[in-house]
Amino acid sequence: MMDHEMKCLLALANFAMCSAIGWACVCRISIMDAASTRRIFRVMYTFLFGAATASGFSPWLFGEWPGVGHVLLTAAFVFVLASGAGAWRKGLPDYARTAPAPLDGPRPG
Amino acid sequence: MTPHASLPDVVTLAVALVAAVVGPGVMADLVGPYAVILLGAVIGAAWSATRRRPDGAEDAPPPRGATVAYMLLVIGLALLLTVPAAEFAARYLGLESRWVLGPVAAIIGGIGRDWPGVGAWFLGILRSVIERWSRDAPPPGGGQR
Repeated sequence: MMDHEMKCLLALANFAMCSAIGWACVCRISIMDAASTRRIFRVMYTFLFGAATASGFSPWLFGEWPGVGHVLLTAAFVFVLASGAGAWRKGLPDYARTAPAPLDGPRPG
Repeated sequence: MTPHASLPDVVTLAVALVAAVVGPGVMADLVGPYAVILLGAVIGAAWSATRRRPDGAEDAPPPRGATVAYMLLVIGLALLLTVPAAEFAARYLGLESRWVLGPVAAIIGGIGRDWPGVGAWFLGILRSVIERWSRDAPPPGGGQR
C-alpha cells in the first residue's frame, strides 16, 4: 500500500506531465484548421487533450490517485510527443495535411 | 457516485471546490456531474479549435495564447449552459439528465465559434413560427380575410 506522500508525488508528476501533453496539444491544435488538416489528426489531438485533462485532474475529478504504471504511460506519451515536435515546429507537417487528389496521367491521343 | 434528484448549480460547485482546496475531502456528489461536464466541454472546445485558426492568424506565428483563451471561453460557456440545456434535452428524450450532461457539454463546446450562426438559425425558425401564427390567427373583430 502506497503511503500518502508517495501518492502526492506521483499525482504531482502525473499532473506536470499531463500539463506538458496538454500544452503540446494546444500548440498543434492552434495550427490546424478543417480545410488543411486531415480529420484523423484533429480527432487524435482532441481526444489526447481531453484524456490529458482527465488524467491530470483525476484526483480531484474522480478521486483516483495515479499509480506508477499510470505515470510511466504518461511519461511515454510525453516522449512520443517530444520526439515528433521537430516536424510540427515549422507548421503543419505534410503527413497531417489534406492532400489534393493525384492528377490523372496525360490523356491518350 | 450516488444519483441526484436535481443537478447542483455552478455556485454550489464553486463553494465545494473552494472547500476541496482549503480542506480535506472532495464532495464527490457535487463535483461528479461537473467532472463529466468539464471533460465534455474540454473535448468539444478542442474539436472546435481544430476547425479553424483564430482570426488574423494566417501569416502569424502559431497563436497559442489565442487558442488557449478561446478554449477557456468555450469551456466556461459550456459550464454555464450545460445543466439547463441537459435538463431541457432530457425532458424531451425521456432520459435522466445525468446521462446527457457529457454529450450536451461536448456539443456546446464543439459548436464554439459558430454560436452566432446557431443563434441566427434559431431566430429564423422563431420568426417563421411567429409569421405562420400571425397569418393563421383570426383578424381582430371577427370576420373573414
